[in-house]
Amino acid sequence: MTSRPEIGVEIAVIGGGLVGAAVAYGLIKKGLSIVLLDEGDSAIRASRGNFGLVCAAGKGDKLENYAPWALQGVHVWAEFAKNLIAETGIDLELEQNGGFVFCAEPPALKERIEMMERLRRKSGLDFEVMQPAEIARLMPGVSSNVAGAIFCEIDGAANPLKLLRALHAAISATEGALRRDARAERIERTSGGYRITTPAGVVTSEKVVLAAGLGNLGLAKWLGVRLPIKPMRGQILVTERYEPVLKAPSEHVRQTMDGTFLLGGSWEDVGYDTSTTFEVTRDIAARAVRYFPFLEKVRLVRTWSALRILAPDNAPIYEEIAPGAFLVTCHSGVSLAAIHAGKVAGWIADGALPDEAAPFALSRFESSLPEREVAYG
Amino acid sequence: MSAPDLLIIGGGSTGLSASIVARELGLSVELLDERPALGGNYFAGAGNPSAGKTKLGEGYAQGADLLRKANGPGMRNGAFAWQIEPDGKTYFIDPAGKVGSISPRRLLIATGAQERPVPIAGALLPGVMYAGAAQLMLKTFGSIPAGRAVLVGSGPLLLLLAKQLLSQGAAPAAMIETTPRAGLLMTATSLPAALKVPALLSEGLGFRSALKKSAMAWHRQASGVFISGRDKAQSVTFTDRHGQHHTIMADLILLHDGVIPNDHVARQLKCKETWNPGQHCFNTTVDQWGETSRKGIFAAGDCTGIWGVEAARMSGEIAALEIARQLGFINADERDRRAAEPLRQRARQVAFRPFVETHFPPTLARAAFAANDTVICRCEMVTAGEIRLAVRQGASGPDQLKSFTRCGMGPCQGRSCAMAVAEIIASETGRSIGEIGRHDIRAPLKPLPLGQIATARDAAEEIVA
Amino acid sequence: MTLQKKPASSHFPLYRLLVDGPGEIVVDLDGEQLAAHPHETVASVMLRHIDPSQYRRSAVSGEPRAPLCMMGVCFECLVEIDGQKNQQACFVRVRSGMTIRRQFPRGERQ
Repeated sequence: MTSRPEIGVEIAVIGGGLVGAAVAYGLIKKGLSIVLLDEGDSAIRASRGNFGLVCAAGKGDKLENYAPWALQGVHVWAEFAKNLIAETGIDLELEQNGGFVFCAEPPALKERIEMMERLRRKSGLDFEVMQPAEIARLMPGVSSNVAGAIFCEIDGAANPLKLLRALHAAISATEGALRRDARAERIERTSGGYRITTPAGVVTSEKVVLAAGLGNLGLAKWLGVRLPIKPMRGQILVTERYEPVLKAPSEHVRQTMDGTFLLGGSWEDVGYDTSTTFEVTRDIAARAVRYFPFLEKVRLVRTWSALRILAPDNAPIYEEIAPGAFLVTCHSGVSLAAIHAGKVAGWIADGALPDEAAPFALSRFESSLPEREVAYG
Repeated sequence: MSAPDLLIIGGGSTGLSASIVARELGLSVELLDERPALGGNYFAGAGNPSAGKTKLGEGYAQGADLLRKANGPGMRNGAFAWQIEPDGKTYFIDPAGKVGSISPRRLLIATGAQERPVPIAGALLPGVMYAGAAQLMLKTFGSIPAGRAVLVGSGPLLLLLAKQLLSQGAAPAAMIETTPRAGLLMTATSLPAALKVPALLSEGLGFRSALKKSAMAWHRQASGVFISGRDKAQSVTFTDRHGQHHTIMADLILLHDGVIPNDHVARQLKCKETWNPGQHCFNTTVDQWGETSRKGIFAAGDCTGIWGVEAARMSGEIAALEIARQLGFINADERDRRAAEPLRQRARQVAFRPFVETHFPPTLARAAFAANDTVICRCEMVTAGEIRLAVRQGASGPDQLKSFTRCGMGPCQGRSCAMAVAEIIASETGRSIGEIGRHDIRAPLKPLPLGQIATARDAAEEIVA
Repeated sequence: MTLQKKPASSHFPLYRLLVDGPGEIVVDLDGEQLAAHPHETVASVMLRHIDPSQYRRSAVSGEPRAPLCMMGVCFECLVEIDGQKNQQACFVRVRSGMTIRRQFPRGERQ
């Protein structure tokens, strides 16, 4: 195999999942010369585990400044979707009819209401508390065996697979902007910026964006930085197609535009194990059938799992971890896609993170403050 | 809860042979087969008393005998395994629709073969079936084509079917054989091995002479095949070896382009596999005893690779012997003594195989040449053109491709499209099919109702002994 | 295309029995009584009685589909049996009194 020549760009984005692709797309819109380095099929691909919610409800529980950011993220989604659809012809299946968070038992509902009130004070995110009879207007078939749900009018969902595909399509429309099978094996700091070695060739760039999800752990090490992120497994179930019934999503049960139901909501701390288990499959199925008894006869077609990228407070991390090296990580790749393609890409293009990004700095994690050793090549 | 020494998934000739050997040596054995009757493909219908009416002779008595010997407690028909854990624990759904589980000490996968998918234009039309389907109709249900049947494709099974239909007075109207001429010449390496099993050679030659004498129109070295019809298949068109186009009217079109392993169970377990260029399919990696890359999990027969029915049966017996040794029922010397003959017979069969492979390479199934509007994924209606576009837009492998196009997301989980997808991606990217591979297989191996899984809670409590 | 209860002129099942016999098992296919033999499956009985274009419609394309493999691999033989949708007819043995309903979307998803 002939070796490919080195390529030089202004910004190299490492990681072709929802986060990296959104940032890369935004940078191209700003007129920068970029390359998106995607590992390809063998990547951990948290993006494949995304439920597809475009939502603000509940965001910021552990980091209050996340609440207004998440809300802003939802507000800019429709415009972002419109442009991306116009550019690529790929329908993102965006629905913004509101979204629910179910609470099976009264104590959980009470706790959730308290949390939502706290977040409303911080961000202005409006919400209602609904009983099954009211929930049924948007989610028919809901059982009365549910204490209640939080409803946020601005929330909704999209198709995460189509979103990733559309982003890749838009990026690959620029010659050479998407390089696949290009796992970043090594990053070195150089006088001009950075030098990244991949199986698909060497890339030199002025700036680099680390958007490789859990892969950022290894990448940041090259720059002498330790990250406090860890994997958190989520298992997802998808059913066969069904006549359209649910007009809005809930956190654990939603119906896609194909008619299939997505069921989820598991959190397991199991390292990098991406297998699925009978017990969790059963628990997710049991909860879904409890909430929507009609699901009993609907057939499960597939289960899979993905690893969320979790910071200790479940909020994003945006930080310049070395001169010109920007870390972008979160576990809401769909909800934040628009703001990543917009504002965050803008920060990186400008070359500096503004005050608005301060709440998301790495330094907020006192106990895992990284050793700021940057190697010069 | 059930905790046998050995659980066998698949009740065809391989699984049945293994169960007989294992029981003889004192192991407790359970077997799951998703069909309503045991026998798999080769011995389909062997348990059906009325099947004797169709005088297919040959293996029939052998099949009935095998079923009789294998019969016993722990043989579950109509039970399909839908999730298997790495330690061999298997969740299945029984004919009543209840979820159960079995925790064996050893697992043997014997899920046999499937038809190589043939993604040609018109293949989706009602009235198009695989040659194997017509064979099952004949062997199991004593049914023959009611109208004009045309056989299309390549492979020993196609010739066998033609001969079987002929012997039942139901000769096909035509056979459009796509076997290339080059394969008809025997290779220097395969001939000596082939001559060691003259029975197989003459069997093959015997088919041809019988068919030549019949009224069936026989077109050789055909290419460019497609099927047409409105709401159902009505005709098949092909190009003959002189470049002339022909259209033949048909009610039933029977396709065949060889068989490939039915290896979903092994893939769900992430057993290692390699690409076998001679067979043009993936083979589950097993040692000489049949143990896969997962300790304690064995695979035998057609599901690991295609070497013929005798080799498959021998592999079943060989695996059972090693499993018995591992569990302490026999020692290594005893195992070697009993395995000597099956190993020898298997080696002979395996040596003959390249002759068949060279003679019958895949033809219709080569999806890299499919037109853009040819449907590759039947479940989700994804065309070759859409797949090529997705590859160009960044999908470098089958999982990303699945995620971009929904190809493989339907109920069949890629059984009909995975090979074609690999071919197309290979052709678009210049990488080999072996490197590209196929998408991840996930539980459940077949769809089942959420309610059955949700309520398995009670069964699960019993299961935890 | 409407569901046909009576055979039309183009009605032509794909298969027939080699040796025709009375068939002691009676199943209900969309209201019509069909005779079947003990070892038959729903798929084999249907292929002997109905025109292939009348077997089923794809949930995705709405086009006519019928069994392809008869061994559980293709998922084209799906029918509703005794109230349960999307059963693989090639795996279900006939039983007297069984009700079989074909799946034709008609504006409704399968």
